[in-house]
Order: sequence, then C-alpha cells, then structure tokens
Amino acid sequence: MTLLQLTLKNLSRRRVRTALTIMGIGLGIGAVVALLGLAWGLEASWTDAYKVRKTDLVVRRSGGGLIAQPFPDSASEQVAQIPGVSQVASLLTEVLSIESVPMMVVSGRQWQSFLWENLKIVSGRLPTSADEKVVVLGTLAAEMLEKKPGDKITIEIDEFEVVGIADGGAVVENGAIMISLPLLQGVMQKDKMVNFINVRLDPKSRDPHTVSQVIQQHIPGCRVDIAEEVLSQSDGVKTFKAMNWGTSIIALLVGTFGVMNTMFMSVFERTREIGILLALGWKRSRILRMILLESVTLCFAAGIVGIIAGIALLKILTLMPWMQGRIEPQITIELLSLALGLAIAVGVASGLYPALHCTRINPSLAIRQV
Amino acid sequence: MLARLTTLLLLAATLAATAQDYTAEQLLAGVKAARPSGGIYARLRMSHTPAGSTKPEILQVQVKRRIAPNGHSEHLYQLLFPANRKGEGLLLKISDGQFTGSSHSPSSGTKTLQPSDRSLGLFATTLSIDDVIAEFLDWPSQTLTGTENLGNIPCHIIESKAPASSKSTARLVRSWIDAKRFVTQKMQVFGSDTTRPLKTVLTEKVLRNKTGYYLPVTFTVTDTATGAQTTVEGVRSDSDLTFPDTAFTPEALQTLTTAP
Amino acid sequence: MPSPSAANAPLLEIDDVRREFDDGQVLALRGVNLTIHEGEYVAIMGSSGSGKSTLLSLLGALDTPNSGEIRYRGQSLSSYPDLGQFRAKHLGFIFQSFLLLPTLTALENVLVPMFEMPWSRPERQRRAAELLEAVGMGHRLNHMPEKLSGGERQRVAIARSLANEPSILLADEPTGNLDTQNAAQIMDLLRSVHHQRKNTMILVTHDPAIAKTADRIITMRDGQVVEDTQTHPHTAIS
Ligand SMILES: Nc1ncnc2c1ncn2[C@@H]1O[C@H](COP(=O)(O)OP(=O)(O)OP(=O)(O)O)[C@@H](O)[C@H]1O
Ligand SMILES: [Mg+2]
Repeated sequence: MTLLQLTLKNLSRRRVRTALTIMGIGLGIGAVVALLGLAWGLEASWTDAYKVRKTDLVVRRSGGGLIAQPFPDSASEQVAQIPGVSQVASLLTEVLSIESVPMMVVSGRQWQSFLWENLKIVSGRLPTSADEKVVVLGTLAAEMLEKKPGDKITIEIDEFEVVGIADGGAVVENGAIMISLPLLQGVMQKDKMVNFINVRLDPKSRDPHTVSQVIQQHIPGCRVDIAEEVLSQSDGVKTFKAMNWGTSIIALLVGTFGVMNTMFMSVFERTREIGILLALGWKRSRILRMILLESVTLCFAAGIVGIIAGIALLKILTLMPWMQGRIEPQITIELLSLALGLAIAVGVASGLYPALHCTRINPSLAIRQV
Repeated sequence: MLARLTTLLLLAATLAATAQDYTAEQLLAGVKAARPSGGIYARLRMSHTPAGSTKPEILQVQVKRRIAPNGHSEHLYQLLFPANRKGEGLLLKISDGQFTGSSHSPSSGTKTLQPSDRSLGLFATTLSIDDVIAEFLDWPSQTLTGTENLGNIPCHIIESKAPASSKSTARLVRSWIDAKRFVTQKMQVFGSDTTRPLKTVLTEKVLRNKTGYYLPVTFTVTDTATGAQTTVEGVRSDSDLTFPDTAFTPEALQTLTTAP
Repeated sequence: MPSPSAANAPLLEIDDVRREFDDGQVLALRGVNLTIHEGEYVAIMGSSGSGKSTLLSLLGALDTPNSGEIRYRGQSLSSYPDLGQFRAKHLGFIFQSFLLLPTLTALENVLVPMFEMPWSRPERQRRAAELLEAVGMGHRLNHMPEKLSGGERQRVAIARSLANEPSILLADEPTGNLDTQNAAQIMDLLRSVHHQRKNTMILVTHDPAIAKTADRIITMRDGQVVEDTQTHPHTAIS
C-alpha cells in the first residue's frame, strides 16, 4: 500500500462529493482552456497571416477605427525608397457581404507582389495577369461559398470566375477572397487607393523599430505596425486577453475555494482518523503530504476533465457558422500543460491550508472525539 | 431626512417624465430627421423566407436614393445576387404618398409601374413598395396612445390613421418609437381590419451614422397572413453623394453601377 | 531479549506530572510520580475520571504535561524534537474502541504504522500477514473492519500495535467493548504477546480480575496515584 493508494481510497469514500468537486474545478479549468485557446488562436491567426506572408511591417492610415481607411497607392513607392526596406506590396482589403455569406474579407493584392507567393494552389491555378477577371479563394472561403474552380462569383456588381483555391497557410488568408489589386479597386470605385502596405525588410537591415520610425516621418498621417507586435499591441486584443484571463482567474478562484471547502469538510470529519495516524507514529509531514496529495489528485482529475471539456467546447465553437474563418482556436501542448499546471497549482493552493490544519491536530484530543 | 430624500426623488422623477413627454408629431419628426438628406448608396443583404419554407433565400441588393431638385424622393433598387436574377431593378419617384416608376428584369425588359403595383414586393420579398414609401409618416392623424418597454427599451406607441384620400393599403399603422434615439423599434401595419395586422416590422439592430442619428440597420418584415419573412440587413453605405439625374431614369435600370 | 540489569533499569520515569484542561478548571493529573521498569506488565485501575487515560496519553507521547517531566530511558520526552518519531519507534497503542481505519482492510490497517519503518514493500506485507496470523486473523486479511466482530477487530488492532515492534504497549481498556468470552480471549492474547516479546505493557482496566494478572497494580483517584502494589514478582527479576 502506498500513499497514493491511500489517497485514492480516501477520495473514493465520498464519491458524489469527489465527483462534484471535480466537476466544479474541472469547469474552471475547462473555461481556462476554452478562453485561452480562443485568445491564443486569435493572436496566432493574425500573426500567422503576416508570418506566412513574410511581412515585417504594415503601413496603414492612422485613425479610422476597425476598418482601415484607404489612401493613395503612391505612398508605397515612397516606402520602397526608404533604406532598409527590401520589398513592398500594397493591399486593398474590404469586408463585404458576398453572395450568401454575410461577411467576408476580399483581399486585393498588388499584382506580382510577394503577397501571392504564400498561396499554395490546392486546385485550379493563380490568375495569369492583373486584369484577368478572376479570383482565387482561400480554402475556407471556398467552403463557405460552396465554390470550385470554374464557378462564377458575384462581388458587388461584378462577376468573376473562380480559377483557383489556395491554402494561404493561415486562417485569415484561407477565409479570404484573393483578387488582383486593380480589379478590386475597380469594383469598389477606389481607383489607385489601397489601405495597407506590407513591407519586407532587408534581412541585414536595421531593426524594424527604426525603419518604422523613418517611414512614419516620411509619410505623414500613417501608422506603422511591426507585424510581430500587431496583435499583441492592439487594444482590442489586449482587452480580449485581459477579459479571458480575468474570467479564467475568477473561475479558478471559485474552483479553488470549492476544493478547499471539500478538503476541509473531509479533514474535519476525519480528525479522529488523523489522530489515529499520528498515534501510530505517522510524521506530521506525512499527514501533510497525504492531504496535499488528495487535493492535488482531485485537481489533477479535474484538470483532465477540464481539458476534455475545454477542447469539446472549442470544437463546438469552431462548428458555429459565425466563428468559421475568424478564429482557429489553438489547442497546443503549451495550453494543455498550462491547464494541467494550473490544476495542480489549484490543488496545492487549496489543499495547503486544510493540510496545515491537520498537522496541528492534537492526537490525544482527536482520538477522544466520538 | 427621509422625507427630504423622497421629495427630491419625486421631483427628479417628474422632471424626467416631462423631459420625455413628446407629442406624436415631435416623435415622427425625430424619426424623419434621422433620414439622410443627401444622396446615399447602400448595400443590403436580404434574406427572404417564403411562406411555408424554412430555408432563407439570400439576395444582395444595392440601393441609390436622393431627393431630386423638385423635392421628390427617388429610389433605385438593383439586385446583384443570386446570379440568375442579377440586374432586376425597381425605380421609384415618390411625392405626397404617390409614386411613379419602372421595374426591370433582364429577361422581360422594363415596365412602367401602375398604381396597383403599390403592394408589389420588392424583388418578391415581403417588403412592398407601400412599405418603402412609408407614407404614414405624413398622415395628418397621429395619436400617442401609450408607452411600452420592448426588451429594455422604453418606447412610445403612436397610431397613424390613413386619411380617406390615401391610396396606401395600410389604414392604420402602429409604431413603437424609442424616444431616446428616435428609432422605430416595431411596427404593425393594419388594413381595414384593425384587430389583425397585415404585417409586422421588427428592428433587430440599430447603428449610429456619421451624422449622429440612429438608424435601424437590420429589421425583419413579416407577412402575418402567410408567415413569409424578409430580413433586411444593411451591409455598408455611403452618404452625402451627388447622383446625376440620369441615375434615376428607366435607362439606369438597365445597367449596374456602384456609388459615384 | 532484555538483560536482567536492563530489566531493572527504569524505562519510564514520571516525575510530578500535572495535566490540566479548560484553563485549569479540570485538574486531570495532580502530580503523578511513577517509575516503570523494562518488561513490566502494569495494570492501572481507578474510578471513572480519575485520570487513567490522561496518564496513558502522556506516557504514549500523544499529549504533553503542563508541568513535570516524563523520561524514557533517562531522556526527557520534552527534549525529543519529534514525538511522532518517538511513538513510531517505541510505542504500540490499543484502544477500547479499536480505532481501526474504516476504509482499509485488516492487512492495510496493520501496514499503516509500517509507513515509518525502513522496510521494503514485500517485507512489510510479509510482516503484516505474519502478525495477523499470530493474532489468529490469518483468514481475514482482506476483510474490512465493518465486516469483523468486536473481538476480531481488537485482534487486528493488537496486530497493528505490534507492527513497529514497540518496546512499550499501551492499552486503554482493551476489553471494555467486548463480552466476557471475547474479553478473556483478548487478554490471553495480550498476555501471550507480553510473554513472547518481553515488552513493557501498561494496561488500563476496570476489571479487578484482569488487573490481578498483572505484575503490578496502580490505583488512581482524583488525578493521583493512591496505591501501587506488586502482585507478582517481576518476571525478569525472579
Ligand atoms: N480534553 C479534555 N478537556 C477537558 N477535560 C478533560 C479532557 N480530557 C480529560 N478531561 C477530564 O480529565 C479527567 C480525567 O479524564 P480521563 O479520561 O483521564 O479519565 P479516565 O480515568 O480515563 O476515565 P474513564 O475510566 O471513564 O475512561 C476527567 O474529569 C475528564 O473529564
Ligand atoms: Mg479512560
């Protein structure tokens, strides 16, 4: 018989209470998995987009809220002149209601720019020229629109042919319609206008911060984001993450007190048994370890339950139509180990006080108790 | 102390009440004022569920609207999607509750609208020409009949009675107006039977436009007799546009162009 | 096997020990002086509330006196850094109400004190089974306490008290919850244990017949020792 076996026996004594406690803290852990999975997913899906495009800087007009305001494409030539910049590619990105899909990103990309490089054609082909009246769909977009190469697609008043379906390597790319920049400028009547310039830096060049400052000086009214930081620095994401962490912490706190309550009830009703163990020569440290092991085991089980619940919740969320193409939740080893780590931490935190209480039990008094 | 507090509270309540005491005319003026005066271009997504069906049919529509130099209101509705109906259109010129105009479809060409087309559904949805004209706002008989909370929005209820001269199929329109934002939250349109509405309109989403007015951007029109439903969703819009006169002619129905 | 000289050496010395409860309102022990020798079999008698159990708790290092000193082989118990370790090394307890752990089988109950012993797992299993065999419970190894009779439970408890090979056995009315027949069997068992193992046994009892089988009878009243008679010559001395 080992301490762990003893622990399991103790926990299985009050099955319902143990199960309910596991459910309680398990839900907390589940919430952590789901919320952080979403937050990380959101971040990853955007940073991924820049990563797959190998974009270092993004230039846009400052202000204008959620939707980037258009500005003349001539700025991109200016940016290209700046030392340290190796390549530029302009983009006109619109969020439109396409056919039966309520909202979809249409990405007008500078023809022959690096923005077409990361698209791996899954079926069909890429456009052959800037003014061929065709589009390429991201894999997710193709699914949502139910299109295959050869089909026609209506974008605002114009009709285009779908010539290819491409895997862009990131959710944001895959959920979009890719079209050559002049075509989209035509559709939107935004001749020579763009709303983003993607910039690649010279590998050996100065650091992105310096270059971004130079760009800002050269082009008044623009804002330069460093791709790696775009999302982590955006207020929306900051709030989203803070809220998720906040909710997670509250869920965990509630769970912690739940486990603490359970452990206290359990040690109170076992005061006499603990007295017996002490009388039989058990070291106080062994009693402490036993109680801690009980609460950690409880929380470890809850961690497993929570991880399963969290993953299930995320899977359900990804099936929701309004989630598709927006966030791909990240279920990574890091997330799961974090969840399990938190579960164990909760176990230690909630077991420590009851365990310390046990070590202060006077065996002769405890044994007298009936 | 308590007595003074109660007096203070009562006073505050009375003040608040008087501040909200609008007349029906003031409320309707507020609603009308929210309508942009310049030319607008709007993209709508309409989802129409025909009677007896559960699968909605999605329509993408563009709308151009302006007040013509002669004071008439001019509307041009054009269908962009589904592809097989692309190019269908409707032109309306409205003044004093009367309308003229044309309808167009690529297959059957352009037709002049007749006064009897008033109850025609816009692209065969439950939203009719009569609804679009919204003549009831100008009817002389407007009575404030009460207040009601819709969800958590306090609304004033106004009953508009059609004068004998009106050609509208509606004889009575009951509107629930959010008096804080001057937004119609709900409407019931009655024919001669004032116990059963012919149609109900329910606002689902309200947005504030650039000029600070609130406008319903998503609303659902239900034909109570058949159960058919159309949800109209504003996807994007451009305001303060200047359209050439040619943009509102029967010829304009035959081509598709976006905002100027 | 203790040598005669060691047997004569004092094992436990109790020196003017006082124990009070409830801030001095209850004086459970009011200055007890006693010396107990290695290998002795001592019975403690006295009316209810006279302080027998309190004294046993102090001797068993389950509790500490308010004043006075208890020495084990000359070393004061108060100087032990860890009384738990002291109990684990030297003491075995038997209680009136058995105090078996309800979730553990007979065998597991006997294994519990062995957690503190430096033996391998198979070794512990073997010892525990042997002990249960010795108390006549070899056929009930995997029974839960609730499935055992009172007498059987006390046998398991005796096996458990021997698990750490204690030099002192402390028994507080071990037959108090048993019928006459079972009581007699348990007492036979305890005496034979004492004979075989030659350990010191201190036993609290209300039964004069049981007390008579001891080498020495100590009588308590109102927290004090009022009588201390040697009934048999101490086996080790004879
Ligand atoms: N924890 C305690 N708090 C308060 N009083 C106590 C406590 N323990 C013992 N006492 C008191 O001390 C006195 C001695 O108690 P003790 O249990 O030693 O008696 P006893 O001789 O064992 O009696 P019994 O034969 O009934 O078991 C009693 O008056 C008892 O009420
Ligand atoms: Mg007692």
